[in-house]
Amino acid sequence: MSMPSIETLLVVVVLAPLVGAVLNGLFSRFLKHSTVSLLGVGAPVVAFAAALLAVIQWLPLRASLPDASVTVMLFKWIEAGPIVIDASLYLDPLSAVMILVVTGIGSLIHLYSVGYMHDDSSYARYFSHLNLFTFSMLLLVLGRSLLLLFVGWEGVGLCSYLLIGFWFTDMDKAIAGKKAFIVNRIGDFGFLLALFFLLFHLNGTLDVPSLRQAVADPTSVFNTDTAMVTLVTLLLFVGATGKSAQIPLYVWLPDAMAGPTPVSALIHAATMVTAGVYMIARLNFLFVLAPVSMAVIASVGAVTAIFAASIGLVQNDIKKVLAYSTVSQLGYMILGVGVGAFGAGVFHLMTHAFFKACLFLGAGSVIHAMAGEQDIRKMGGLAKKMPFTRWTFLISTMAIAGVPFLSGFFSKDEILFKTLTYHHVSGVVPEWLSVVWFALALGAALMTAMYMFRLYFLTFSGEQRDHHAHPHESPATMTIPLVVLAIGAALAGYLGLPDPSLNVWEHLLAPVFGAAEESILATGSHALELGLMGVSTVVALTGIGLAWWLYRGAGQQVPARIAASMSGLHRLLSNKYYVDEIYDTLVIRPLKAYAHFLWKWIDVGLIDGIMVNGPARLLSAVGGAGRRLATGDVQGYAAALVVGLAVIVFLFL
Amino acid sequence: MESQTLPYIALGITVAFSVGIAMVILVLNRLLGPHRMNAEKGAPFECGSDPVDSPGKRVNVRFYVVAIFFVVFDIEAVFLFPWAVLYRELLATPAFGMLALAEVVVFLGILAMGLWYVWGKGALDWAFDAPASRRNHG
Amino acid sequence: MSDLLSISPLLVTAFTGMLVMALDLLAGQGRKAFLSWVTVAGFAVAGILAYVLWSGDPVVLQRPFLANVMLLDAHGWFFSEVVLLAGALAALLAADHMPEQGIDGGETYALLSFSVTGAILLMVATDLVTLFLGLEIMSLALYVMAAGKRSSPFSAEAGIKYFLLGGVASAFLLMGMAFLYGATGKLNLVDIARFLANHPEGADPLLVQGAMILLVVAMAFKVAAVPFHFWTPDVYEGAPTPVTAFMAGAVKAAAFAVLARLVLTLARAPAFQGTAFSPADLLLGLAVVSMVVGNLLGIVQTNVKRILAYSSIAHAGYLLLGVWATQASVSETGVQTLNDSVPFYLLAYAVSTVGAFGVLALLGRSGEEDMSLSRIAGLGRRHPVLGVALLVAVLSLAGLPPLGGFMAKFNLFRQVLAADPAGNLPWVILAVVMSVVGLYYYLRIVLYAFFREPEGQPVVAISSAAGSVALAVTVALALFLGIAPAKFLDASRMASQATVLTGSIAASRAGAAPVQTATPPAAAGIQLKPGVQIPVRTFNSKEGRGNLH
Repeated sequence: MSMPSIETLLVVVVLAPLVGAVLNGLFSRFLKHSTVSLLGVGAPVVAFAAALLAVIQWLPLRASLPDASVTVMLFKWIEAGPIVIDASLYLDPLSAVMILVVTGIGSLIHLYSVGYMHDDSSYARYFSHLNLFTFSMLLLVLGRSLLLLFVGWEGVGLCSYLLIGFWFTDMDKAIAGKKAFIVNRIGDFGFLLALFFLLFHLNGTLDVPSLRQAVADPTSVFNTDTAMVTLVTLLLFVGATGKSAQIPLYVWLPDAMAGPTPVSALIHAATMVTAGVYMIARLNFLFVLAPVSMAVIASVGAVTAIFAASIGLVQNDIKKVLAYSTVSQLGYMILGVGVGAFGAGVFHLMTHAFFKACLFLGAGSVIHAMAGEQDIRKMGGLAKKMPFTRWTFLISTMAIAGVPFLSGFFSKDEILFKTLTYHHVSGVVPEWLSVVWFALALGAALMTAMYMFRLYFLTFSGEQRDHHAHPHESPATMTIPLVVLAIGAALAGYLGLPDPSLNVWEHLLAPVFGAAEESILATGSHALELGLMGVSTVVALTGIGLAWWLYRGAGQQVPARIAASMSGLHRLLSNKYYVDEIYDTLVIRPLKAYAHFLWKWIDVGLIDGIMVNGPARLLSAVGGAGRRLATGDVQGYAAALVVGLAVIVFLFL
Repeated sequence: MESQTLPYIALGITVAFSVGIAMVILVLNRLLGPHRMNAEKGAPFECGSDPVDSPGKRVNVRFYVVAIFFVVFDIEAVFLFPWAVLYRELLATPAFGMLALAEVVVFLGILAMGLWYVWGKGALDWAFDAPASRRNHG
Repeated sequence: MSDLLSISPLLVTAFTGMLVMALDLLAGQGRKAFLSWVTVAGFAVAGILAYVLWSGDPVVLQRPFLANVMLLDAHGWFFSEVVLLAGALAALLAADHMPEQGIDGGETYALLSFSVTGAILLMVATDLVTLFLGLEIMSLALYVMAAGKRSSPFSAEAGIKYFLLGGVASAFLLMGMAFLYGATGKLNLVDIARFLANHPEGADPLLVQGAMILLVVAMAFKVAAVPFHFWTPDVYEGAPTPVTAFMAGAVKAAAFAVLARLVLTLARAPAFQGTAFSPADLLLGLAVVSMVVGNLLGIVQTNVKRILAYSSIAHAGYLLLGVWATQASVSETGVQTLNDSVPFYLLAYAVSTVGAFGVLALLGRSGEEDMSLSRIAGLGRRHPVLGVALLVAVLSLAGLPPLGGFMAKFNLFRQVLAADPAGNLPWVILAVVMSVVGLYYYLRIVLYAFFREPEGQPVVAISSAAGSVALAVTVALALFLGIAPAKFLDASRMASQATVLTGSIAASRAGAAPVQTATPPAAAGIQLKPGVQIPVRTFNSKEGRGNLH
């Protein structure tokens, strides 16, 4: 049997989850529980297999392909005057990596969900939404046109909303879903504006390769009008801050933990939230033309990284800790792409997908075992009762903390190194800024090691502090994904070893990022890189040591004392810097008051009362008068017929 | 000459004969039968309904149904006469005769179908409790 | 034999009627619903045949007695499809509605088949007697169907009113035909058109104009145009709802098909040139008062069936405007084509109105035929499927995108405007304003169905598989016509070009050499060969639209 072509396989990759979503969504009442599982898990697995086959075929070919890419034209989507937009898929090194991550980790999380959601009454709806999410994410990643990417972008936003509010009978969860959706819409608005600008300047196409060509032309508007490019890239970045949970739009992500835990793992850790990073990486050639935007991006990323990490230090909900950790790690990625280290940013995206998915699924396993309890102060001593969960959790915790030779170590280190070597050729950005970013990122790394090991120690070591629950290891459908992800979390880093000859990753992505990175990054010495590795190792171990001392060792009274002596700071952190409250006062309340005014005075009073109902009342009066003619008397009707004829004869003859 | 007058003589005999029979029967009836007059018997016979009556009085709807059926089938039957007259001519045209026959069979089939329907629906039953009407009265 | 094939849809529908009668006798009491499916099957076969014939060339019958009585072309078959569709949907809706209302008989389906037969005959007829025959077959069956619910005085009232007033209208029609015959000595529309074109001195203008008025008035009655609309609300309200659906959808289509053909065939007669009388003004007047009166009176109605009846009147107004715009273009240019979008409009209107009445047909148990607005309150929540079907149908009637009604209205108004951009603008503005006024009562239906809670006992929906199929078809078609109308618009264009076939022949003959006029009257009947390719279609498809300007 001959292998299907790459084109066919790509179509399968995208369609398989859609089919799963449609079948489970529309026909669930006719399907058995096991069929729903089979469809729900089968769809991403098929997509993964197809993606793997496509990439295997594509790898040896890619040198001979333009931009190392394959395009699959599906159909002509929009043709309106000068605007021509095709629905076509685009496989290049970046999207190849992304589809493998999305379908691979997606498959594992779908499998995990079979165990986790087993008793839920809306089992089929869950899988339908999750499959729809996978479809949208693949569309986002594979879309050749930015508009198709935007469709996926909106699609994942929708699915995120549906899944955060999955248990919509709980008002808090429904509100969390709404919050996520609305905050994302703010970002999407910026993205959409940027698309309009691009559509205008690109003469009616939004294809990424066309954009790249246009940018490559030194006489094009992109190379002459820096202000425009800065504006467009900043607008795009507004979109990215929404989806990738950066300051100031990160507020939805911690609340998004209201959804089922596998959803948090897939959407709010591994895939969707990285869409912003992906989009910036995808448009790297455009972003490097705007040094101011790049500096803004890197600054936002660095500040977000340390800001979220500091909140993570004092959170007690296991999923909230992981949520702030995700925000912090996304800050790293944004910092990475902001300093022009696109390869490193996407590399961290990939390793993060493994260890954070593993951590969330581990957390889900713990919550499952603790009968829904999420407060880590009530846990403890789970190491013995849940060996699989414990070991996989530990490996991933070490990976995220940056313990040497695990994946997070390599990817985080790469970003730190590239930050230090940042040197934008334009000279617009002051030199010292990159040192500030580096310092913030290093501080965030220390905190990461601390809060992650605090989480680990409080959850797994010591004795169980609350005896209401009877913890037990989770079923195989849940532990198998954990093990696979833990292996990934341990080993994924070896794709990007810090040596030019061994760095498979950079070599693979060179066709996408090479030119852009060259224009922006100075070549740092190898010695500096190795030295940095030493520094970050020390930082990681310090963080772990502190956590050990404070939560396992002699200093167990210290946290309480710190909290007491610096109560102001502690309250500030516990309340997450009061950001939600600030937004409420500054944005939400004025908006609501304004909307109330529009509703009561403009809509009900002016428009409904005078402009709409006024003419209606007038017409009703006229109609009421005419109604008297319809008496129901048949002789009268017949007479009217004849009179009508007579009038016509009189008028026309 | 004789051949022309002969039919008229026969016609005259027929008329005389039938008028004679009628007279004889009436006379015999007058002579032999008992005579007890009442209002019912004194009324002129007109299909069971009173010839002099208030015009607003209701008349049983069944009269109309039967009348309409009679008219409908009668008119349709009338269509057969021109066909019958022309049939000899039509036969003269090759391959046209059979067609003409087929068409009249279809026509009669439709008539028969209508009759069957009317019958089956019980519209021909004078009394409403007849079996046919009970069986199939939509 | 080829003649039989050419009229096969007619034969199939007639046969379906008789088959239903036979099966009605054989089926037991209370088991008549399957007749609905038999009827639908018959209509489907007829529809397929009509489609095949539609794609072929126009045909004129060759049988000696039947020569030229029918012209079987795209015009007739397009409208036949509309009528068959409306008929099939009405049959499906009747399947469970009728037994629920205590009308357990097969006669509805038989009558429906005969009515459809009559409508098709009406639309393909070129001979005035055949035309009248078709009209009466269609109408007589309808009168009986309207009175079909024997236990209801409203139904009886509807039947008798429709019958009496329809009789008056038929008398007008016959009178008009008599005038035409008096003026020309001919009964065939093609002959008449030719005669009028070739012998301007031979026909008495007064007779021709009188005929024109009488014919238009008679058809205006059938399409429910003001001031000949009085019967409409009472009959629509009283008749069994599936029958109303058929009346509103099919009869309007058939009547408009004939009206357009009659008007376009006769309007170019020299009898109308240089006189004060203009058929165009007549149509415009009817259109304007229909739009205004239909929409204004619709506002004050409280019964959904009556609202839809006034909606039907208003739609007759828009359609008359469409037919009129054709007329307006005729007087200046040589080519006359029916406004392209009129056939499409009728299709979209039939689908939407049958959908709206269809929902009503599935509401209410026996004795609950009152359909006041308050009775449908809460429908959207209680029966979401019916609610959505009603929503789609009503919004399509209102002409909101992305539904068929919008596409129809948009194209119609666009074409009216294209016919004479400056001159027609006020009328199009009036039509649009009246559409907005109409929105009020359409949205009132939506308001009650979705945002009001019922007072007292809420209306009960009857469960009906057949009815659900019908509603699904209407919803799907309403959406399809709105989103992907291209094929249907093309078909509509073909139909509208065929509509004026007779008139165009007359026109081209009029412009031809005088040798033609010397043809003795006895041979004047136009000798179209069966299967002849009539050049008008190709020439119109290239230039027809341009000539509207």
